[in-house]
Amino acid sequence: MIRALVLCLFVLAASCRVASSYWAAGAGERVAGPMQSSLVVPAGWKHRRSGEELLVTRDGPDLQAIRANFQPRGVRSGRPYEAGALPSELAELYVAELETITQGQVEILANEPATVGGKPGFRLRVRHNRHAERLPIDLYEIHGVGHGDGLFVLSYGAFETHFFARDLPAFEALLGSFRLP
Amino acid sequence: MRRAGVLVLLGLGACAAPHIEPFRDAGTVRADVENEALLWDQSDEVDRALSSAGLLYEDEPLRAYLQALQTRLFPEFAGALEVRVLASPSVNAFTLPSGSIYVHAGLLAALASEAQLATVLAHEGVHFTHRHGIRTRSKAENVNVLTTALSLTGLGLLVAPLAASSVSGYSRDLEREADRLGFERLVRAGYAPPEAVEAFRRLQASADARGEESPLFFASHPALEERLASFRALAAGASGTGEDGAVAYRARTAALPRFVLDTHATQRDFVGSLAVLGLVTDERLAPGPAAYYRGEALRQRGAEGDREAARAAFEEALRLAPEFALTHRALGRMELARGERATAREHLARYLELAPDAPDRAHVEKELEGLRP
Repeated sequence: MIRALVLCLFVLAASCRVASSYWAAGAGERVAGPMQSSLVVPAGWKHRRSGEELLVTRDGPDLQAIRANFQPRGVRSGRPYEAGALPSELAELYVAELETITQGQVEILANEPATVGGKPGFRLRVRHNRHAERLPIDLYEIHGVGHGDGLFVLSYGAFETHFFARDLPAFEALLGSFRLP
Repeated sequence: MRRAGVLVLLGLGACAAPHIEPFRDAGTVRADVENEALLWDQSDEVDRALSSAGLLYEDEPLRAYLQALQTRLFPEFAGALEVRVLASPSVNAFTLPSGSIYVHAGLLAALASEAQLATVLAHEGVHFTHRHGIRTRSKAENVNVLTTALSLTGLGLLVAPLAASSVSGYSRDLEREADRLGFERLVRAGYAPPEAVEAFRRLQASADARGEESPLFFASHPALEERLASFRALAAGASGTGEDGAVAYRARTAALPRFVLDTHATQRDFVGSLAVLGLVTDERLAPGPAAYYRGEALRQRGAEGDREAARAAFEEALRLAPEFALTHRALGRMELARGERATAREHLARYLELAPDAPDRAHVEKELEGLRP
């Protein structure tokens, strides 16, 4: 449970500050993301800021959560995401963080180039086996793009059964609307 | 005041461990001490959790080899002790109270002979045959250790408390007993006594390279120096030469150094990579790949001078093993960073030729697209 929590905090947030704001209902409007980025929250979904992270969900973050954040360095390693790094190198660093945090309990189903916010980035599909906790398997769709001295990460995580496939199109729409600062 | 004293005495009496006989053979293996059955049930739960979480290193011939080795050490316990390999680069081993012995892949990579592995397995087996789990945990407040372990997930968190109960949590006397009786088993099985000392020396070297003050397998008590001295004395007093089984061991564990190095590289654990490279000989890892992994560890470390050293290591790897795909990827990316587009293209294209199923193929193809003349 502790490891899963750490994974969530990592995948999902560079900033761990407790949310101080209330949920705002989304009506398909563009909202401010981390570090002066912006994106469109799907209609019917709600969102809130937690420090420099934007959290978006429809039924509650325990069921499905989209998070957008900016990470200047690896959460676990502290290694900076250097300016000018290739998308493959940024993906390598990010995967190393995931592998380290979960001690190899993630399966990288896809690691490929992707365009994020109009720039070359990476796309990961990650499976997190939580059988040891007697919990369902989580799937994550994670997109990252280097920007200045850091990495923008947009992630979508949900239970593999039922929720992930159902809400993936909403994440893809949000991803398409993402604008870098 | 007198009443308080009586209560203290009663409390002490309640915590005192009963005398527990060791198992004599597989036929006497029974959880017949209070709380022991519970401890075994919890151990079974850990077995299931490790398996269902996909944390086992799946290599049936290797598992069978370790199992046969365990039976050679403990013939009268055939069927009662079960050995499995964990897909973890850690240098560690532990035993559950029910007789499941787990050896980490990192430990197998760090050792160099069957006799060295037998040293570890014999020590672990004694923890089971002499019921060190229940002897340590006969106090009611301690029986939930495994439950606590199960409530945590992940190899590290799951294993740490168990390992602690296996090798770090035992008393000085129980560790000494496991060392002494384990050594007797080693000699009786026909292994070379000096290999026991060499096993400890290698594990200590690995721990030193990782900067670990108290390596898990050795525990903190008795002090490592004392245990090494004790093994040296035991080895000096042992008769017969025995076999080391190095050739068989190298053959059976041939894939382990690469597995551990790849895991370290993926996790960017360059300290772990360098520790393994300091122990693995040419016979277990060809010089070309070894040079590549050294270069990769240096590249990941990124300290002053590491980039140049990494480049030199990659070039050495290329000279020694020109068909080793990963070297081409490393050199291609280095050339790309230097703006040497033509050379970068050559190396990256060669990488894909040599490793058509590379997991990062899509990234490399994209990089090649950007390098078209």
